[in-house]
Amino acid sequence: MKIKSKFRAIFLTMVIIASSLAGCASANKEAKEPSATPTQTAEKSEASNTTDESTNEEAASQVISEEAATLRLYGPGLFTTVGENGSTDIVTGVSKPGYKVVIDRWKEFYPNVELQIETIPWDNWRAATQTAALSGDVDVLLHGSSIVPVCEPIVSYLEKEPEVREAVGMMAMRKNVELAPLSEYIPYGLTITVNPVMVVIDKEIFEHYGVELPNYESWTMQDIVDLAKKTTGTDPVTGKQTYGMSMIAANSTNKNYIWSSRAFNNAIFEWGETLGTTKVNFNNDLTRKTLNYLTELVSFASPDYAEGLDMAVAYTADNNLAMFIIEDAYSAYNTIKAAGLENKYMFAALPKIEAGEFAGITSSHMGDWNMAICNNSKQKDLAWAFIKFMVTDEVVQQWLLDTYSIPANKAASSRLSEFMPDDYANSISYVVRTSPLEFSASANNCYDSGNFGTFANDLTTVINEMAQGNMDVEAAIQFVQKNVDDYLGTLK
Amino acid sequence: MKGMGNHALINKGVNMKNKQLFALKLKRQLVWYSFIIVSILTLGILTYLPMLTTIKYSFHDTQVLGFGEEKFIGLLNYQKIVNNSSFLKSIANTFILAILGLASIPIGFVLASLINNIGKSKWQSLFRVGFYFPNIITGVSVVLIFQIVLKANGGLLNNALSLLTGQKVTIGWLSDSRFSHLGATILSVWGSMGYSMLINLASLQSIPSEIYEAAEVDGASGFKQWLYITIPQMTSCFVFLFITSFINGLARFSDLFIIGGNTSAGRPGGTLQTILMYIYQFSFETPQYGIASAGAMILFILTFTITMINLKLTGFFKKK
Repeated sequence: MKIKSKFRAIFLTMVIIASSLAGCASANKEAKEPSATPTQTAEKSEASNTTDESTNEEAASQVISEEAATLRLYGPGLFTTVGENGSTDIVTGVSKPGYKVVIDRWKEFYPNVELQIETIPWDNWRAATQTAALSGDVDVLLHGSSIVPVCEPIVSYLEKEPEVREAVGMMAMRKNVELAPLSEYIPYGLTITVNPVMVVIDKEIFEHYGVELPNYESWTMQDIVDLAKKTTGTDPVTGKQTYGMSMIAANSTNKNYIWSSRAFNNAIFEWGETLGTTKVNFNNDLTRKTLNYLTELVSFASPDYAEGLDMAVAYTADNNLAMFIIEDAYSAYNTIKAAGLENKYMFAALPKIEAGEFAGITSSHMGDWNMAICNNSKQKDLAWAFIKFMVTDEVVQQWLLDTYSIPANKAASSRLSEFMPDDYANSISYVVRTSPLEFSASANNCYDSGNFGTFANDLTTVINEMAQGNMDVEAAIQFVQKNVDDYLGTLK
Repeated sequence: MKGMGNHALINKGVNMKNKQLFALKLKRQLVWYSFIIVSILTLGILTYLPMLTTIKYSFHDTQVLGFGEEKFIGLLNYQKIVNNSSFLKSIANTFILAILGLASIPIGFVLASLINNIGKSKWQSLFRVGFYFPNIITGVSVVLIFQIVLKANGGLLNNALSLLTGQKVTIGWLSDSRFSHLGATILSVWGSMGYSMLINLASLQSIPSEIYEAAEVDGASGFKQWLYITIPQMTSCFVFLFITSFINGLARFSDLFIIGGNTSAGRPGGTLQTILMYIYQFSFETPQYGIASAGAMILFILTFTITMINLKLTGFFKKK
């Protein structure tokens, strides 16, 4: 009996050891596979390339790879919104196809590369993404390029494939002193979809007040104030109280600083060799002008603006806001469409920039949903192949349009008028077309939320305090300047 | 020799017995330890190890945890945040909110006294459950409700105040930095007074009725009974609520984060930015993990010190 037990124990031990070794072997295999570069895969599979008619020029350069691997994606954004099999918005009734379309298309080029997509909501996404990146189990970070330390710069990939840079209207750019002078931007990821900041104009309210609609390609900052003033009061037709302007929500009113400082060309950064030697010249007359401008404009907002409750009846027939600024243009259009109010509203780009290098183009900036390569990934080349596929493949661009997103791909975004009336599509296309490649909501020549400590939060604080009458412009400037200087002082 | 032999045998027997006893004791101890070993390991790995790591990072120049070069910089992170006005302001905010939040204790006591006076009946159960109810509502819902109740333009509280004063009141309880501490306190007291009431009520009902009967025989009025019997008998309950409420107040985060519109800026005007929000800001919004770790250690020291002072003052360390 004892001998039998011993044999049984030895047998079981051997089974455990054998399984462990098998596990190690497969892990090693996975780790080795990523070394296959797009060039290598191209050589291997040139002969077997499909002749799919729907494949466009860029997609045609994709190849079928027979290498087996698993590409792990993690993060928030569109994949979360639509899910694998699609979703239907309960408010607008709009249905969106799921990311299965992307997986199926990817399989056509990489049949043995499995996409493992883990989606998360936007709540707390930075913390979750950083933790996931730290685990070492992520190859592609969805919207990861906002966290520069965990991302791989894609300079070398873009040098090899410059056509990718040409294809898009925006790129996730940040600064990195180790790679280039701080005055230059380094691409950290590819922007998949963009969200231009737009003004929604209630044409009916304008008509009731007898005010002419603006030409968004030429209107000025002063025009916005004048129009807001004219449309604040008692509506001559309905007798209801209306408000001229509702800016981007008070809890993220730092974003109002982005477009207004850009419009006044308030370039505040004096880049040094390192961040420690960089100066932020916030205390200047253009900052005074910008902050005073925003305080004046907020005086034409609803008293509920400060609490974020002013948009309760926007997008309804009872709307009381003549103009309001939005960051999610396509969703806004869908809501308007679902309410049957397409003729009531129109979109406009924000006023033109008054001076400097970009004078004459709109001050509207764009938010984005991007993808980046995690810098501890062992499959960086494969990760690059995927994010490139997301911005160049024709089927994916069609899927993006079908999900009511605005593709960063310029050719795809120019097709927006097929999906919405000119009153909406033209102004969006105008912003996407004219916006400089490196100008984003996070980093530009007037604003940078990533490199200067609490700069973004401090702006929110002072703009709200000025709107409440609790702070004057000088105190606001001193507050922000001191915090930035203190922060930069810690980097020396 | 024979005697010696017997002695050796006896010694051997005692040794054997001692060994058996030790083995038995060890076996029993191991059984007991086996019950808590999982908890100890979990606590060690998930609580104390990260704590030790945080101490380590507070002395390093670390931007994002696990990425980039980590350079030992001594006390520089501590020096940076102690000299930072926003951090000092966040400490002040934390203490102001924690102290104001203690209002839930007297309110809970008054409620408990009123409910206790009803006597044991279905009405008492109804009020007990009714007042405890806010405690089980999720924080997010509470904030959403109170954003309407406390709004400047036509909010429930302002409407009530307008009615009482005969003048239009438009105080932005959660949007004006001059009133936001009060607004945030109204919200937290509403959420926690049910818990305070329940603990107070349990404590009130544990006071022996004989003491009141004796006082009544001696001619003590209701107020005197309350002042000289109820209050002294409730001391340990108050101390417990004081310590737990204060520590909870120091760790306040999620409701203030939502009030600020899901940012750690502590809107309005930075008045609702607590130490935890400051730490969050440097952990995830503008990652400087070394600074965030130093902030976390300062918060730990503050909480630890306050707890020790509380325990000392309340005689926790006195030998009974």
